[in-house]
Amino acid sequence: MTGPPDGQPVEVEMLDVSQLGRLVRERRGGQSLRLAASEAGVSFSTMSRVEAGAQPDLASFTRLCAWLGMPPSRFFTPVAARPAEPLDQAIAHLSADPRLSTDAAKAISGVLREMYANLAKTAAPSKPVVACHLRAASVMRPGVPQRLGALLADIHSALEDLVVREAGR
Amino acid sequence: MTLPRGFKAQAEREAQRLRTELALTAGDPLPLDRLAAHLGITLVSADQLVNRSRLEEIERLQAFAFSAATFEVQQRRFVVTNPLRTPGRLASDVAHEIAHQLLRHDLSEIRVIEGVPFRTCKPDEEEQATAFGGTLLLPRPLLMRAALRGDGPAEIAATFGVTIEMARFRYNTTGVARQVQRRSS
Repeated sequence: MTGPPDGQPVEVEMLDVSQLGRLVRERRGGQSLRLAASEAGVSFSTMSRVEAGAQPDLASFTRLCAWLGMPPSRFFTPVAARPAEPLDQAIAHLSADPRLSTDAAKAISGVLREMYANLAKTAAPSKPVVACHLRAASVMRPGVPQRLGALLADIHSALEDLVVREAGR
Repeated sequence: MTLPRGFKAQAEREAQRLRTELALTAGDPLPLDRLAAHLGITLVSADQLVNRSRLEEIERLQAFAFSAATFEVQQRRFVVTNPLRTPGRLASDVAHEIAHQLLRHDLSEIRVIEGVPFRTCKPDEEEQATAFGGTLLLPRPLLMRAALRGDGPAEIAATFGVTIEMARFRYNTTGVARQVQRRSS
């Protein structure tokens, strides 16, 4: 059997430091480094190094994430592979706006989060509901629901194609 | 679960009305394809839409896991059946699905199968569709004629293309056997 030696992680997720530095710089805006560092609860030198692209220690990283209003997990997956949520993007822009104080940005972010949580619920389900009465077993054995779900979805698609074909005749 | 009061009598009347519309006599078997066309429903065998091997695979994993389904696609209704069923069972499945349509059952329940949500009916409506489906296939006057001829469930099943279980169920629950017995005694 081949693989990493015992105790070695199989895969290490890299912290996206450049994005952290960019967001910290954007969030600080016109503020002085010293004031921003004090607000974020990190040292002046840490703030400066992070903006320059250095990787902070875990405690500083956590405080900077809280100051940015972003979950730490955001920086652990390649940005290209993970589409940013619209809410995260909006809050990041608010946090970076130099015209807003920290409290003002937090207040607006809070309202946004609440509205998003309430209104997003009413959005259409991610998968369209298939209108279908089904005469099938009420209890299904392992492997059956997956196959049946796919089968019914494909039958529905085939019927949609059939209707389109017949309408074109 | 019980059927609503008067449901069975109403089902018999409705079955008779449809047979009259289709110009069937009391002794004719119900041609389900003609009834479906009469109601604007298209019957399709699932193997015309997907590969038959997929149906066989599901059947191997669990017999009778999938029998039939009614789909609504752009205001058109399709009853999709499983070609692996016997003709008798197929008749029960189609009659059941058509019964849902005739009873105007709303697809109000959401049943999720492996992440795909399907709108379906309430359990009491399932019972109604089963009862009405049986009445459509074997209405009481038809059973009475057969019973007077001396036919039992096996002969009725063979003559009218239904399962023996369905013939026995209708033969016993409609009371035709008792009625014929009383007449002959």
